Amino acid sequence: MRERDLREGGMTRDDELRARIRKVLSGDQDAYAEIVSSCQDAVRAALGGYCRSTGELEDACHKAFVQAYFKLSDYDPRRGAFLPWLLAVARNAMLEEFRREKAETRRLQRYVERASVRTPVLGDVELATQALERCLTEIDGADAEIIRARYREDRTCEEIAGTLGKTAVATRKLMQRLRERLRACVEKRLAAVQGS
Amino acid sequence: MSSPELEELLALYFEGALDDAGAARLEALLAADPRARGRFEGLAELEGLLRVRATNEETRDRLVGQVTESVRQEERRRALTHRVMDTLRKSPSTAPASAWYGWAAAAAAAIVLIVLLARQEPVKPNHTAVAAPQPVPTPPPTPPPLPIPQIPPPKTLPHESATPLQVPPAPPLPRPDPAPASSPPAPPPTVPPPPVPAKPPDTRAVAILIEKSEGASLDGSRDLIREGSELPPGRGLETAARGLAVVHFPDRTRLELGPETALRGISDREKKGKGKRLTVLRGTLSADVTRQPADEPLTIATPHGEVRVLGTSLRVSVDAAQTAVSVKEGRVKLIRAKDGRSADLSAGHYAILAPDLDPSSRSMNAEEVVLLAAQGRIVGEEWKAVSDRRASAGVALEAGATAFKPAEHVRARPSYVNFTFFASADREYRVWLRAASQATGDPWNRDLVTVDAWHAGANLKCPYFGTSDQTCVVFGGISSTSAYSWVSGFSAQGKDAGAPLTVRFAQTGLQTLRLYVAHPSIRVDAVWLSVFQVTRPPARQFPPPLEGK
Repeated sequence: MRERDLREGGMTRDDELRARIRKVLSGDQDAYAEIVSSCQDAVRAALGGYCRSTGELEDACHKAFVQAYFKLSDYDPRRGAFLPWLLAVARNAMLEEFRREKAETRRLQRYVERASVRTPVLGDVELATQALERCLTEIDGADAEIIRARYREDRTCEEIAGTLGKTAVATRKLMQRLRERLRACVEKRLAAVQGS
Repeated sequence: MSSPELEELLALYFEGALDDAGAARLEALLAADPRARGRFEGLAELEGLLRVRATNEETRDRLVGQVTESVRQEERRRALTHRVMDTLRKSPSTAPASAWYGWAAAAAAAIVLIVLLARQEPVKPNHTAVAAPQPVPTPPPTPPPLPIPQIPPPKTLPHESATPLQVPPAPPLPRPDPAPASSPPAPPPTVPPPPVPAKPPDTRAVAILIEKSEGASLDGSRDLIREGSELPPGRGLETAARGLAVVHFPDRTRLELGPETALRGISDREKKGKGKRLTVLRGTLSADVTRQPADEPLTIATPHGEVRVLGTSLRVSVDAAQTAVSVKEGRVKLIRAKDGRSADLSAGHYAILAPDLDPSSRSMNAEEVVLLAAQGRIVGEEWKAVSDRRASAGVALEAGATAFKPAEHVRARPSYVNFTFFASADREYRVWLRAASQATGDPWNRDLVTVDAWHAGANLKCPYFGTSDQTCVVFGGISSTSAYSWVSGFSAQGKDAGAPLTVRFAQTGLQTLRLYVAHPSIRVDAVWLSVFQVTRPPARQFPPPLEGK
């Protein structure tokens, strides 16, 4: 079978990003808005596990994108795709922030550093998101409500506990069990669709 | 190894409630246990995904706006700093000789600088000034509005083997295995100087070659044919990768050869009862045929059958696997080589001649395309046609085992189902698949089929393939019911995926769509490309009826 030109029908995603970068470097600042729009979920996913709250995550994303703007001329398309470069800038911005804080809170920053160089445990963000959506359909209503309260409403375990009539400790344990269950489910789903 | 302490620390960490002492203790536990480290990293990634999922559009839009504003403010600040410093550098050369005056001027300039900087708009809450050591970008021009997302304009692209051709300029085709034409004519001598024949030989030119581009030659020889030259009777023509040739018969029947096209044995009406004849070995031929005598049709032979033409405008595309015929005006008769089965084709219809496909006429209605299972050409061992009373036409395509995982690319896969159909380039088609899962057990493992529409832009980028340039889409949601249902795109189990897969083809003409196995035991009844069906059809709905069936 003869090889097809897989650029048929339009540019690849990375081609689109590079075209926008060229526009930005030519002075089209609004082209950067398109880059922020298309890449922000990947940046949130990369940083979300190391932020203490939604507000902190949004701040981290904001800083990451502003830093990346002023470093755009450093990006070399010959060295790889744009998104990994952007995620590296985002993680470094987060590490800079850690270093500005008190010495004690610099702990666990090594895992942010490792995330830049290791293979992701869950793999590609888009595929993992699909797998997560499937796994979320398998949890029952009460557990789904806890997930919604924690992540959509940004409520603490104490607040959720009050709603459930449980203690904060019990709610925290329940939340952690849900995370473990979802993690195992997503890993299993991804292993079923990804080649070796 | 898990411990209550580790579990509690992880729970506190992901709640954002871990204090410094707890952070130190957690780090020590993770450092001592590689499995715990792996769990933590997986949980951190999951936490990121959950936060992404919880992000609404308002938050996304707000981030874009805040970043844009911060970037503008920082650029203005840098630009002003640059101008002020530039001014300060130049100012000492014009100052008076008094040292006291020089120092006072420098101090005044510094005060001016401080005042100007202090008057900059304060950074909004949640913004942080960035001190990245980069050169100041030049002020941008008035920016254009954000583009409206749309299917990108498709491009003309090369073909693979077994791919139907499209309107000129058509891309090149692979050469098929050498296959003799169904009735190859005997080539006459190129220079016929008979002694004194009782009946003079027919030295009339078959046709006059009126147009060609580079690379049109006689019977594939190295000698290129010139414009205006005559084609000897019974000879053929061949065009190169970017070639083109046009032939006129004396009665103004016109043949147009596309690139990489090979014709043989072009002959005019030789005697009563024997009309014009030619053989298409491969490539594309468009023909405008002047009305022929009823008993002397123009016959176009291909490896897969014959097309008999009395007076029409048609197009013939030949590759290794099939011959596709589409009729713009008039009527033609098709005869399949394998068994002599014939079909009549009228204007606005097309048909496929192939050993294993039904040659029935199909409408070139560009707004609704229904591809039933029986119309698919199976290649390889992973698919088979099965009887199924629940299927629209009683036949379904059943996926078997495959060595490939759904997220593996389809480029090199040896097995697929190929559909050829007519579609227009100026339409956006929603692609619906009617399918059912025959397996039981975990729905996640019996839910997917990969669909690949060639030479088409799409509104969806399949997440299964990450940042690669795969254009195929894994359709999911098939296991949501036990019966046949319609799916499009990568719908979550039991849920609507939002917009269906929408494609726009690069060129009007015959198109290719392929199915690949993602999960076994999936049965496919039909593929429906529709301009109008924008919402998921009810599960029990059959595809619309085909014209001429």
